[in-house]
Amino acid sequence: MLQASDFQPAWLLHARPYRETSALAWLLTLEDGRVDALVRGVRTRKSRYRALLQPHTPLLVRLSGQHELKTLIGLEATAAPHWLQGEALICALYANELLGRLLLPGLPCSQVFRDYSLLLELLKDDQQREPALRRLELSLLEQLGQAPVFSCTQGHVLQADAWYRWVPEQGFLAVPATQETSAALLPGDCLQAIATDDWRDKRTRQAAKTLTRQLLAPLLGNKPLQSRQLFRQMKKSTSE
Amino acid sequence: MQFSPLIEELIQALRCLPGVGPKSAQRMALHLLERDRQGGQRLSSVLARAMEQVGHCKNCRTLTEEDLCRICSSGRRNQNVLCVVETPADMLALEQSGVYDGRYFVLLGHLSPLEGIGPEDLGFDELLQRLKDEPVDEVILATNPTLEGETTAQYLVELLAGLPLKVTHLAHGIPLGGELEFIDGGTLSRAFAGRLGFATRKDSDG
Repeated sequence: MLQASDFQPAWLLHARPYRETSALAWLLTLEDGRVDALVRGVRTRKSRYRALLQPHTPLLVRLSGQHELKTLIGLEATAAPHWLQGEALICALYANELLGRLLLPGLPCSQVFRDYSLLLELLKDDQQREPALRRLELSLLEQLGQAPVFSCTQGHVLQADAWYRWVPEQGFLAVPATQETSAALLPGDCLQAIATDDWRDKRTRQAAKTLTRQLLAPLLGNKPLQSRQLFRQMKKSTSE
Repeated sequence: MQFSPLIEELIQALRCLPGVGPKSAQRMALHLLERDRQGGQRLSSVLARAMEQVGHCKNCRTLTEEDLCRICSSGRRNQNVLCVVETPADMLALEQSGVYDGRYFVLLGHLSPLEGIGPEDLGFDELLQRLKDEPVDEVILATNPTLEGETTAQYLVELLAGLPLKVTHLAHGIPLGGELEFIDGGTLSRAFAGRLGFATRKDSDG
């Protein structure tokens, strides 16, 4: 990155207070991917940036600095924030946490940026929420070099009427349908649908959820996602 | 110049205060030592007592050295309204405005998955217990208009949904004396969404 870059589109994933009046911002930018930047004086009463530097607001940012930690030197909001509620809000928090934890600073990831932007747009729609989340997870996996190759372990094309199990580092292993019945088994037709970005069938969404969870689990290690727990607790409190 | 170890230690210790850098800490330490020993003695004894004795109100969780804070133990407050705020400072701001005469519940934080702060850290169980024990008709959610504050409010809305009470949220709008021209789009869009109707003649007649 040049010493002071031009304005570029960005989203704030999270900001934490730094010293007395500054903040440390985790940004997802279009050109530089995930960037950690210091925003000086943003927490003072008079700061113009204070209202702008909020998650889920489409931003234009200008960054400076040669080290991994940049300094934010320009900030504009291009539109009003996405106001999210309930499940949509928790899903957005989940996306923020996932990207904040797994994306490494300084690697361009324009597809992840696009899918994240699309996700915020689609979260309010119940029907689109899940596919948008899965698409983001899959492009994040792609970015991390962990995307699944949609063929079986022997390199053959996946069969619509077969059942598969995801085996880490090997791929999809065909299993006889009668051998075991487990939620971890993935139907071939659903995998084909995921590969072609076709989310109409509810079974496809379920299979994609199972699959992305299996793929993300080793990357997340043994530290559980807080937003997933929050989602569960929220569900529990409403059902009680 | 190098100060002797005890003075150095004092300067270092003063730096834990907000807004105090190395220079200010040095000025403070030298001022107390040179000109105001008595003030320094008093500061150190009050500080020690406060650190030892100040805890949280059993009822609303705000800072106090008493079992119950002044607001909770006052008989004059409206018992039917409960206002939920993030910090004792927020509670103080509302008190100073004089607009509210009910009681409070202080969360001492907000939900923030990325910082690892979950519902169990914010005393939601105590809040629920209070709402069962006290004759509260309305809960006012006065969390901050930030993502974390909103998340906390939304969680509370879900949590309180089953209880027979009214849940309200502070309005988001244009600051007093503000000019539309200089207001950010987020605040404006919120103010637009929450616009209020003028009382028309028909309303006031009828």
